[in-house]
Amino acid sequence: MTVLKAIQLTKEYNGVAALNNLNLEINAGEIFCLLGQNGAGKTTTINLFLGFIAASSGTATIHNIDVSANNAATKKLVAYIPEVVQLYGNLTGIENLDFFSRLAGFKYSDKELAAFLTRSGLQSNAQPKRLSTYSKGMRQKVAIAIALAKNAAIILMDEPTSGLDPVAVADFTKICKALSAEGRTIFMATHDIFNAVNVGTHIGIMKQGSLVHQVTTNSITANELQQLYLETI
Amino acid sequence: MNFQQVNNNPIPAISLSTQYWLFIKRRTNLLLLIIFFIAGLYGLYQGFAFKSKQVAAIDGFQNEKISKYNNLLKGFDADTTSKLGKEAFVAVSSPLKSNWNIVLPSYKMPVSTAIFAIGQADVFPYYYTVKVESFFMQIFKQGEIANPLRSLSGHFDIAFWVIYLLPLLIILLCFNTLSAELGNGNWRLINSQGITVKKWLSSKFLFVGYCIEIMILIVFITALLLNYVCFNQSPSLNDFLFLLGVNIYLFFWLCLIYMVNTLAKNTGVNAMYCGIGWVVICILVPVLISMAIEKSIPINNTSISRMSRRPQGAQFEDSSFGTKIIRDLAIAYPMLKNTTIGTNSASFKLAVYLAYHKLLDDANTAEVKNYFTKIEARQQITNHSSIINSAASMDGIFASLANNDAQANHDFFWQTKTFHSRLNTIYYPALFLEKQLSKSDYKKMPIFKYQANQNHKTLVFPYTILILISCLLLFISNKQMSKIS
Amino acid sequence: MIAKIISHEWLQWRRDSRLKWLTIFLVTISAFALWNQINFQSGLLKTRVKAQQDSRQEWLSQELKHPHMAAHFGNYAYKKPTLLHCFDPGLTIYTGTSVYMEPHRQNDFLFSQSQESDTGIRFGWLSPAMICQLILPLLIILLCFNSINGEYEKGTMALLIAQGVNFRSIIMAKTISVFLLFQGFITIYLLVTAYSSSLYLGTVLDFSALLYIWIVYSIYCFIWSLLGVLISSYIKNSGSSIAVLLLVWIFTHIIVPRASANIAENMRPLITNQAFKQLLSASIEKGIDGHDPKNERAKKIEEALLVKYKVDSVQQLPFNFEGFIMQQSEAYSSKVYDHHFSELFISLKAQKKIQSLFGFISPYISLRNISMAAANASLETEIDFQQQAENYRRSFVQNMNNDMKENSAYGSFATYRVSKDKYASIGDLQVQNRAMKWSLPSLIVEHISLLFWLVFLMSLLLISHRRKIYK
Repeated sequence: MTVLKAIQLTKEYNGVAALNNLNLEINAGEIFCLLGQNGAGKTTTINLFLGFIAASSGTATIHNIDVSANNAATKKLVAYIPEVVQLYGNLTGIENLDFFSRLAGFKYSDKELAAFLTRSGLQSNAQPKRLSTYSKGMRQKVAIAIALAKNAAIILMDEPTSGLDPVAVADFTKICKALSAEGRTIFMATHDIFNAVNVGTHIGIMKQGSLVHQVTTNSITANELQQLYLETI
Repeated sequence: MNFQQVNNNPIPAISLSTQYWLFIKRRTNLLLLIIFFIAGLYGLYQGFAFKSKQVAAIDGFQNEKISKYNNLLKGFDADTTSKLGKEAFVAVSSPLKSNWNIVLPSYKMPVSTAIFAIGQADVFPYYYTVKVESFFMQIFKQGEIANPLRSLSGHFDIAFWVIYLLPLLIILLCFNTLSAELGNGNWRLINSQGITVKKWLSSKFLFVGYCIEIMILIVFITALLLNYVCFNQSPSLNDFLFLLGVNIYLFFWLCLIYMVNTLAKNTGVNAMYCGIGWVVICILVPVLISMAIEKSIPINNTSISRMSRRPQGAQFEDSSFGTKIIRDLAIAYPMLKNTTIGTNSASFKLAVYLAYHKLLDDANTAEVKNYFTKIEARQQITNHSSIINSAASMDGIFASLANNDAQANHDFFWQTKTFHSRLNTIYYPALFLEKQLSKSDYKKMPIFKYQANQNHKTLVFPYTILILISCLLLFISNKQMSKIS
Repeated sequence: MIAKIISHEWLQWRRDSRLKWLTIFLVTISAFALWNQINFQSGLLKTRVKAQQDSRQEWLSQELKHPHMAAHFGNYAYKKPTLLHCFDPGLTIYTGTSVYMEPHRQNDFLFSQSQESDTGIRFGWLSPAMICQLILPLLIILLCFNSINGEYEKGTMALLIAQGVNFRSIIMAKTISVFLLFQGFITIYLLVTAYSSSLYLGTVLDFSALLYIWIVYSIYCFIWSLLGVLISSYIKNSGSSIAVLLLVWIFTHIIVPRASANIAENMRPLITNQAFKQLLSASIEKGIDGHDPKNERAKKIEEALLVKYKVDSVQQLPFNFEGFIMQQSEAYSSKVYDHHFSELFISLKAQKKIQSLFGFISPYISLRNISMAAANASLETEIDFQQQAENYRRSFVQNMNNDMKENSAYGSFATYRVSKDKYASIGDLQVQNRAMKWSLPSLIVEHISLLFWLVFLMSLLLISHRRKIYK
């Protein structure tokens, strides 16, 4: 079943196309990794699916609902993990999660909140501590917990592994796979080719606003993907 | 799969309880609320202290005058066979003596709303001693002891709290409601949870609005209780119009800061906009408009100030001049047309002197009216300038509702003049018809009662304008919001 | 090194269009303020001079009458603006502008400008002093708020340090570059104000006061420049530093002055006129100490005179007893007035002292008091003016009563008239404006508090040098 779909999706800034006629279909349970240089249009694609920006032409749909026409409805269906996860330094991990869940309309007990954080890999002794004491990896785990707590079938991630140490990246990969196993769809923009091959089921390579290649990870090795990527850009 | 599907999901929302929860997580917020609340209570104390001082002064003044007046009245029952008794009887009954023995008090008791706004009350007299002689001559010598340093600094009353400090509280609590989230990168995460800019901002502003409203209501109710318990004053319509004005003014500020939030995405720029906005609205615009008003309505008090000089001259020695003056007065005041005063009368000189006073007052009235009208016009312009001068306009309105502006003082002045005339309608017949003042004359003596005049219609324009501006700001904000992602 | 940083700062400002707008704003509003005050004060001077002349004419043209009656015709004193009122009108707006002077009573100064103004005047009165006291610090804040943390945000601070500049020098250089800019403005503005007001008012300028004002305002300007730069260095983020600086500005310029004046009034409440008048009449009737009633006083004087001149009745005295007793009662009432007014002035001065102490929290209060004093518009000069007017009133009434005592016979009240030249011999009140040094003793606390601010901020500067504030 197609959950994310882009049809002729275009975004222009002052006449310059940041995204050019993107056609894309992502099915339920897939982990789709979008590769590309800075400015290739990865983040623009994610922002268009989230409705943060309006498309110049074309449509982005989630579960066949047009994002631009019914953004409030589509936002309920997706969770988002930004590149820079700042959250509130004066709140604890649990409190941050509670706050964002409330925004989405959920009211969880402390026990349930702790369970989400544990599932996202955050150790229980860190949970009652303030975010200002957290490392970037820990903050990202809270962001994942926020996505879990939203109970969304689709998770959009913008450069989720940037700035993470190898251990944190490994943790992250594990969680993504677990989420996929639960049937969730993950759509992420990333620079990390090796991680993409490792975690993703599908990979797209973008160049100057266009999707140039689309491959499945069982059909390509990491080295072949790197080769393809370098040739493309 | 039990993940979210369309139509059966919870509705994303940021409730007031969530805002409260987030608000109290930041200790400085609570501290700010407490500090500003204490400032409000202090403002209430100042208004209360000022009002109490006025009430105590009026009580002292009134008691002093009434006791002297009652002593004078005892002259009617005095034993006229004794020297002292005769003197006492003459003092009360003879127009020749009683002209300076009859001393009546007039005073402007602060109204209930005065507890909120001291306004101009510190520069105007609020009690007068009224005698038979020329009204302007005696009144333009009476003033209250000035405390210029305090007047220069201004009152720390509820009006100040509302006009200067509460907007500051709104700024401090709200100036970076959106920019902080944009700056620290949380905004997209919040937005991805389904919270729009409008929801985010409006819930925060609503919450802050409620907090401030609660503070205001506590202060307001306390003030009403103080009025009731300490001054025996029940709540008046003006109290509630003041409350309405406060709410409109703060609604305007909430809308303004709301708009600033949608205009700039950067905390620094927001702080600058809000800070400069505060300075412009609370200082620069009032100062410039006040300057423009002074220039457009010039006032010269030289001749008014000269009215305190005692009329003198050789003319008073001239009997034909005196006869003419008395005749003129009798023409102007038909009740005196049967005057029996002649050049041989014992009270001729006094009659001429007082007739001259009365005619002089009548001639001067137009000039004094003109002088006052100009001052009132200045105030009216300020009160009606809410379209660009919201702070000063509301300040003027608050002073007006509290009966502590120039208009109220002038009303008091003219009411005292009427009171003075009523005194003379009793005294003049005795003097000019050469009778003695009797007990029944004294029974007819007026008792001063200040009537607070308030034309509530004048509030409609400034209040409506401020509401419309606030709505316009909201409209601009909503337009602006669509540009934020 | 410091000079290089300063010229670099100025180069940046020259290329910043916002600064251009700020300059236009400052120049326009300063010109407006100056025009407003010169226009007002010169108009005021004209009307006051005219009023005084008219009053004089009325005095001179009154027909010959008994001297005491002539005294009752009374005289007026009109306060005239001094040249520096164009710079700082100070308290003059809230003090009465004219007083009616007559025998037996000291009248109040009435017709203050605030009574004729709308409530908008309470927000401040546009004058050059207002610009320098309120607006300049605000503009200094706008230039300073990101002077240090902005360098961190841009990443240039590390480069500056790496080039061998020490942190304290950077702060000092940034402070001086802002300070010099505004110092230049103050210098020019003061000179223009002094020159143009001397053109319109035509009175003599007190150069020492002008120099003094220049020094004090420069110090104030330096305090704000240093404060702005220091706060910018202590607060990481420029968004927060502007918020904090604006808050400090509002606190020191609006909240503290108001709160201090109100607290001072609470601590040393001023007597009401009604209570004051009661005290006066009680003292006159019963004696200042309450044990010297009026009629007994008169009797004592009479007895003492009869013994002294060895006569049996007051008619036999070599002078008019009525005139003498009038003078004596005038002298006694003067004593009573002096006694109670001095108490009133003591409580006013005590209030001012309490306010002055708040100068340690808000340098604005110190500057304001000093500026008002230098411009002859302070509480002390107001009290001094009242005392000069009162002294004049007494000498004028005494002069008229002396005439009666020395030249008229006992019981000739209805018939005696002053000689023709008597009226002209009574001059008008010539108010003596005090030189700057006259006010200095009342400004000790203000000077100490400004000095305290300087020392305090300089030591903060030194501390900031020694420790690493943030990475």
